[in-house]
Amino acid sequence: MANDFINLIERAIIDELRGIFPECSIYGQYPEAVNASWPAIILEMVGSGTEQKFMGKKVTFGASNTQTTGEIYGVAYVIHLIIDKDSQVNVDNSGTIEGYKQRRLLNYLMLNVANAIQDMTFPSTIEITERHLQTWTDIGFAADLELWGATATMTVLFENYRAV
Amino acid sequence: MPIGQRAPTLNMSKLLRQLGYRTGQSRKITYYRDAIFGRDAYGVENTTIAVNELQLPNVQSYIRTIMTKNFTLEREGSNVVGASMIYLPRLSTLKGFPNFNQTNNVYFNDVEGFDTIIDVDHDVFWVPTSGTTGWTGANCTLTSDGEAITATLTATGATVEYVDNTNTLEAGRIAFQTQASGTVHIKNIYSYNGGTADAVPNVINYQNATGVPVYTNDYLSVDIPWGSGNWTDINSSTTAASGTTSIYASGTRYQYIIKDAAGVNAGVSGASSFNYNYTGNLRKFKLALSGTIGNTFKLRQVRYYQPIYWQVQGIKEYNDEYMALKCIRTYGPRESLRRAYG
Repeated sequence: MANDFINLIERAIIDELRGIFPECSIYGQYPEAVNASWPAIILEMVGSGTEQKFMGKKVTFGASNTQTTGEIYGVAYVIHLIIDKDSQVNVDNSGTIEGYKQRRLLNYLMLNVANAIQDMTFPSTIEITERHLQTWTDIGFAADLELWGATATMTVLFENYRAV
Repeated sequence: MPIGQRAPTLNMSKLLRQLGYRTGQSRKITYYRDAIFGRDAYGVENTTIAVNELQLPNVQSYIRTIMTKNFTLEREGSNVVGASMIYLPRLSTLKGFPNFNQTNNVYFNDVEGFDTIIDVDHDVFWVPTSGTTGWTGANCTLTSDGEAITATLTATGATVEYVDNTNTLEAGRIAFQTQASGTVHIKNIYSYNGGTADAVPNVINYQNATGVPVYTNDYLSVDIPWGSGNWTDINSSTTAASGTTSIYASGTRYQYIIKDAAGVNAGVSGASSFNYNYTGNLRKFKLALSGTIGNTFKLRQVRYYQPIYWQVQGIKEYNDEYMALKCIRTYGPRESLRRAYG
């Protein structure tokens, strides 16, 4: 298969979030202003590069006897949660469906998006070695935009298989 | 001016009417205010509507545009795409209109920040009422005086419909004016797009079981949002919670539930099962009326139009003659994208 791990990881995260949060718009980049709809979870890549290069080139990972380049590669994302005044997500709260809005919705999304990302299973075609989700920061209300938001940084490291 | 002489007062309403005859900048707008939701014990809005939306059409205004459309994209996704000064008649004149009269409608007291003024960008399609071509009626006979279609009821309850095959994709609202003799109510407003069958996804149905009573001495103005299946795609601020909209008559709100052909409500949340495809050509515009034999129902100025949503950001002048409102536009669709993505 094509050496396309970054796209696979990005799309796997988006698919996972779409499945768990159907009432949110999930974007892989900042949406165009005219198409943006809220609540939104925006996954924005902010960096990628080699994390670790093993000595020598020909290594085997795990039980595979296939020799590949010994390299751990990483991608870093910032995840933005953005909601507006009208955003609403219906949450099953101990059997009672409640419409969460504004600060209550943001609090809910921060924890549950973190849970979703930490618990998700990546496709078997990628071997993830580590994932790190940092704390949510910049939590608050942007008065000029009338939007609530929070941002967290996430890093995913994977085995960068390629033939040698 | 000699000492002691009173400065002449400005009749803003008259001025706006005169300007309206001569320029396109003086025109009638719809005054809109979002529904206000209740709050839980922790200060967060919940889903219970405390005060319903205001949606009050037919207000004469003068719009001095500073920037009509600005397509600069900003990273945060919600950029200012236009700015204007909007002049309205003085508050007491505004409250002279039945819908704004506080005796009828206690919810309009004053112009506030974040209120929305819905202006016309351009008319996408005028449903012709200058003749009866294309029109049919059930339980009524149809005539036209060159301006309005008149339906004379021949039974209890009637429908009038116009059939065509024309593009309306760029529109965002439907507006029309009606007048009646006797007691006539509008119970349903239908728009069929992409097909004339009563089937998903052709139909959007605005429904009130009793219906708004049509004025007998004046024309009742109706102006309702119209758009795609998931209403949050267009502009969430133009639809109240639970997929409803409003028609106000003499200050009283009549709630219209928005349904598709299968009867599924266009709720703001969880609207995925609501299935109406507005992208197809307009095939039928239809009204269902209640009334008795001999009642007449006049209909004119039926149009699908593209709106501009101006949001009141500041009140610059506020005097005995007029109000000058500083408005911005935070949402402006690119119609090419709307056509491309539906």
